[in-house]
Amino acid sequence: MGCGTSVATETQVMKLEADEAVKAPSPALTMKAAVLIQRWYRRYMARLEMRRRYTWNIFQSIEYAGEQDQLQLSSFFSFMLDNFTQLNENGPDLISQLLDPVVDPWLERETCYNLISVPETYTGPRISFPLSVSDTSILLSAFKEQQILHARYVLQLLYETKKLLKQMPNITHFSTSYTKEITICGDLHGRLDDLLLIFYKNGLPSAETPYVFNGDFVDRGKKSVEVVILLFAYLLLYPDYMHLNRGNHEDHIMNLRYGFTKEVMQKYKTHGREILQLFQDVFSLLPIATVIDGKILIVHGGISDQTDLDFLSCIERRKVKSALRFPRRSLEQLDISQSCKHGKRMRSTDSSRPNSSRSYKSQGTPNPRKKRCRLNRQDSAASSSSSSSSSSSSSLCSPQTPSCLSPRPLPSTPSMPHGVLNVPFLDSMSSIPLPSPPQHEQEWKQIVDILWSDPKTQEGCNPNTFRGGGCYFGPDITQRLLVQHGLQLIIRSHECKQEGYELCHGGKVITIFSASNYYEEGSNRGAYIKLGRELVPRFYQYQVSRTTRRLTLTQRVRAAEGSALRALKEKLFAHRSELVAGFQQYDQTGTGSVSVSEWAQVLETVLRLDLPWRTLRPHLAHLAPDGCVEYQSCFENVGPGVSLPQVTPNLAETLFRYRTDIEIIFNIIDKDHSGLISIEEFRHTWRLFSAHLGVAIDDRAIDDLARSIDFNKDGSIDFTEFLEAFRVVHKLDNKDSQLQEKMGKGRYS
Amino acid sequence: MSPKKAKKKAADGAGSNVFSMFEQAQIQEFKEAFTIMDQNRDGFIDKSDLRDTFAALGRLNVGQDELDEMLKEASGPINFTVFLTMFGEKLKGADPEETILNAFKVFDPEGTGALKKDYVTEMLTTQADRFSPEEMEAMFVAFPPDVAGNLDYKNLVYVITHGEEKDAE
Repeated sequence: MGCGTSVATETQVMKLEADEAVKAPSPALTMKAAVLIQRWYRRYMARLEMRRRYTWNIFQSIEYAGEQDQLQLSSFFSFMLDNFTQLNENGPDLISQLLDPVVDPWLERETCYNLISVPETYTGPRISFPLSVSDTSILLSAFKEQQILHARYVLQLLYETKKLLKQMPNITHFSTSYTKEITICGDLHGRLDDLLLIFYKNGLPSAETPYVFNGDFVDRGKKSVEVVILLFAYLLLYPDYMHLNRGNHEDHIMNLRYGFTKEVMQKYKTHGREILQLFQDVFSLLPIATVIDGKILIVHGGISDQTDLDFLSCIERRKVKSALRFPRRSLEQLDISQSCKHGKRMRSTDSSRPNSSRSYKSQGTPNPRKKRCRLNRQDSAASSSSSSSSSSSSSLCSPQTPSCLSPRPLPSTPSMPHGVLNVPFLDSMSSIPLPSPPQHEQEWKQIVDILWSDPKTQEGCNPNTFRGGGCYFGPDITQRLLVQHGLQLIIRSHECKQEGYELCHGGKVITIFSASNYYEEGSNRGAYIKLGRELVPRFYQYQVSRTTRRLTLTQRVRAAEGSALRALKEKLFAHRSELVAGFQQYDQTGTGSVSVSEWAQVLETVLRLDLPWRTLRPHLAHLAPDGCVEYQSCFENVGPGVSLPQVTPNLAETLFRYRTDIEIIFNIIDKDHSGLISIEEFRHTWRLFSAHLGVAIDDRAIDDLARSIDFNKDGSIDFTEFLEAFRVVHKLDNKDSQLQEKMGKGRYS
Repeated sequence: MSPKKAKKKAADGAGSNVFSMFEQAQIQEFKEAFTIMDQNRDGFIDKSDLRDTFAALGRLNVGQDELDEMLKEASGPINFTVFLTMFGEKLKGADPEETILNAFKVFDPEGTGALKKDYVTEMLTTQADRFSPEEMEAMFVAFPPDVAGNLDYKNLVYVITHGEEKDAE
């Protein structure tokens, strides 16, 4: 038919025939024409699909790469905490409070929130405890009106939630015998609109409409506070019908980077710290799993080959405050008091009663409280962790893990007076091998596996290096766990899916994701599951749409693609020095160009993003006449927002790359939220940060920089302004359309 | 090339030979396209992915039925090597705008520039590489006919061809 003939011939033939058969085309011609049209159109749709898919890849890769950067930040914080002597004498500093709070006795007292009065002038929602349906309605309407709940109520709500959660077991058991159907939702990530849409479509939580929310309520979205308040409020109202699982973002260190901490601080300027402290406790008290009818397991991330639900039922979940802080083992011998505290926390047992009142009669699963499992687990866990080699060592590649370390010689640091930072190198300090009880490690690992793992198609179980925590688990791992515990299905979240949900492992694992438009407007739908007594899941999808005008598929793909490409270009810019160095290795003669393969190779190596570089090339760089890539063209259309003072490229790039992290650090140091920090603080922090990153930054360069941005010479830096200078700007945004067209069209071949 | 010949080549187990048919750069390009389509990253693409894959490569003129036949002959799941073996040699350039316009003109001998929606539906769903009802519907959603039921095909061709050019920059 049309396979072998050339297009040109076909065109000619068709033209001829078309000219001749003006009124009545022959059937053969008709068919040919139809075929052409069909193929051409299908090809167009396929290309669109391909663009959509690589756009998705870009977003995901950058997201996960960002999470890996997060590990840098968290280990930095750990280091700061462990080595930070106070910058000033005004009480325990925020960092230690944020990262590793002593249980503040002040917060435990019943009346702490009573000390905060709600002024008459407050126009936001007022609620009273114990909560009633009218309170939750008030909250719903208030949040729809963009109102903010007063700090006093937030604290009281959190306090009540904490009390309630303490009585709950690690694994909640729920039965469908008493209700018609249960609804299961996935990640919300601070998207209030999605939550409201779910409530609208599916009904508010109640005895007739029980819910399970599977973690990741906060971070990334702008309304994390409102989302989580609503969820906790309903939890308090209907503790038997509202079930919350912990997600990997219910973690104060993740919150530092992904927006929740910032949101709280912005909305609650006076009481933000206390609120965050309570959130930290509450998050660590959230149950880690829900089991329905003894048949369906619901966890946020997934499982590993070491996951043991019986073991998980017994541990003290609240001890694992953050997945990103490996069980504290650093400097214990240097700080006796801290180690005493640490030891005390370990020995203390939660006075949690058997939770028979909390859950329905579980079918077949032994009551975890009765089992004297801890002692046994310790032995088997210890032996299994030492014997199992590489299969699932999900250490977060943190420098504190012994296996990752190569001890470096301690630099000679002059002894500093009290009130000034010590700056030893992170690795050398942590290379001191410290004993850590296997029990503690095992607990931490089991929880991290539950919160961070992802399913994969191939069999087996290996560490999830993409994310930096948990495992990739194969269908055999799933099968083994299901059989071991008499289960039939695992429902998890943790990964954004185009349709809001996805099945894998032969239908035995379902991913459910409830934040629509997660990466970009139109990027994906959200979904929830409804489960009746027959335990057959039904999926309901939705998409929150801010624009009333319906975009065509092409427009949506184009918009998302544009957004992804911008993010990618920023990444290129932020790694400019490294990339250029890489290119120059292939371009010894200095022609300014390398082959497409070499170009792709360098990008892959430096950025460590597994993306289809050749397909993306037309968007990122342009070709010389001989078909080689002119590599400097990668960095053409992005640049700093403000012309920088004498800043070395090295420093500039570091600032671009870690802008978010630096912002977080500044926000923490800026205790009074004035937007200003002292030059001293700036210098110390910066030195510390760059030491940690291993970036060789001249002290003088930092001082120069500090002085140059202290515009009014009063010794303090407006760090918001400072950071603005290091926001990457896309130059084409500001040009007028004419210029844009001139620059855009025909630029890249 | 006819399906029979392709079958013979595949049967010859020309696994190593197929890579020598192309330049390294070309193979890398195909690999990327293949990888994009291989959503679960297991190294294999299924039937629906396959159609999208070589269509996305933009240079293939294999009919649906032909494809189905070939797939029946493939001994197992389609990995990259199999893909190249079976389809690599069929790569071609993209059809220029004029060709497609002429194709539409076959159904519009008077050259009005528009076709009746029902006629278009009949033309595309009942012959050759038949569109499914869903595909037809999707096209009309993306390029709606006017109230009288006329589809402006000139605009359709223009938008797609030029849109694609623009997006490829």
